[in-house]
Amino acid sequence: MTDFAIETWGLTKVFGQVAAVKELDLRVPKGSIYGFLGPNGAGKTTTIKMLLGLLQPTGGGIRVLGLDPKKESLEILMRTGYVAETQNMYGYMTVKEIIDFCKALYPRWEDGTVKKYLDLFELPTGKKVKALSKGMKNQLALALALGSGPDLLILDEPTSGLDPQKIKDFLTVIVEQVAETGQTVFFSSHQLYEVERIADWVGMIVQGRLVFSSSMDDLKARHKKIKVMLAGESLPQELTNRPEIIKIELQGRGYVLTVSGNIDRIIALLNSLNPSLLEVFPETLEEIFLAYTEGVRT
Amino acid sequence: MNNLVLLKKEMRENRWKFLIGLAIFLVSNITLPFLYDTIEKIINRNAMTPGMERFLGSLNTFDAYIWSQWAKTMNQYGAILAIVLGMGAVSPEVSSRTIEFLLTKPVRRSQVFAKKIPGGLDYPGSGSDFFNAGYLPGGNFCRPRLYLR
Repeated sequence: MTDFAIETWGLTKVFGQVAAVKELDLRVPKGSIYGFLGPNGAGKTTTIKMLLGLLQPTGGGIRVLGLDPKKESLEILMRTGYVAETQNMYGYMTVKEIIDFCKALYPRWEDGTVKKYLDLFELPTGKKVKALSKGMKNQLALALALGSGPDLLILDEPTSGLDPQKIKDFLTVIVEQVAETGQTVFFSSHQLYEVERIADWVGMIVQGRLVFSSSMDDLKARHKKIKVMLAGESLPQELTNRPEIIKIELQGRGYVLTVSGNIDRIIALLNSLNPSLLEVFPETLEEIFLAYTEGVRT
Repeated sequence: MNNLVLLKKEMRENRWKFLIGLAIFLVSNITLPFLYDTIEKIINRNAMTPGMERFLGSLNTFDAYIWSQWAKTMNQYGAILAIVLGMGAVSPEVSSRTIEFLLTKPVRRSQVFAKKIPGGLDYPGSGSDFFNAGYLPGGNFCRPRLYLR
């Protein structure tokens, strides 16, 4: 029995000449809220579509809830709730009709859960889906996903385009639901504030490659910002070429280094240069994200 | 349960196709008995035209005429209608991206597309079948009264 709700190895998807996902090794622990970060066009949605069996990978393998999407996609979809970035539900159906439609497709449908969230979000059951606002559609999609009684909830940029209050309500529901049921949540986003708020695991994909995947605590412990001021010298190349340094910024007369991994080693190297100032700061998720997306700059 | 709910959805989405198909067959078939005499006159007037004798055979009795015309309507109009109206069975789901919503539910792709066949392709035809099944005896019934010779 695997401890991971999602596991991929060497996962690759190529569209024509473009590799959207490259050699992705992803492990999402069961019961976690996993934030899947990445800038636009990084390959997040492509990865999610492969997890759901909507796209066939060009290479590598996938296990979702211990099952192979190629052979057991129906079983995976029965146990997985999915909320897309844009809700493409049948607009001519009323809220009640779309609930009944989905209910007939899932063997473990939970009427009580759906009613709970319909009441919480104050969704009118008699209104047609096309008449709902974007926020209401997202809330309805979440209620439908949770109503299917899933072991795994996959959310693709679920709060994109929502106002702050709706985002807060949406995230609160997810956290409460996970606390109650122990479901695994895998959600992609580039809204770093929301990921930092609710995720206990985080992974980041840039240009189709996974640049890190770890628990939030570990990520913050491994990433630090070092402010250093040297007496009229620039940073030596042997230092700037170190793989631990993911970003270098010039700030006033000094440098700000974003460092990942062996931080003590970098501090020792900097100390050997007799700096006039050397300070170590914790990094926010946003700073880590920007360091990886912008790359090393001197 | 899956099949029923998918079929219901298709029927609902394609109800206009059903009505269009039904209206075309209705107009076509209602005119059949009333045109019997006119067609007979036209053919008789052009009896010398080579090959026309074959058509005269189908006008020997009213029954032969109406069944042959019904079969012709079903084959010709039915095929054209099925193609024209059935072309839009899958594409609207793809363009509106509701197919993504559907395929992320636990349904087999084969189930989804199989339900599109009665919904999109055969629906106009099958609707007309029901109509014709009732219509033909009706046509036979009203003919002697309207066109007693």
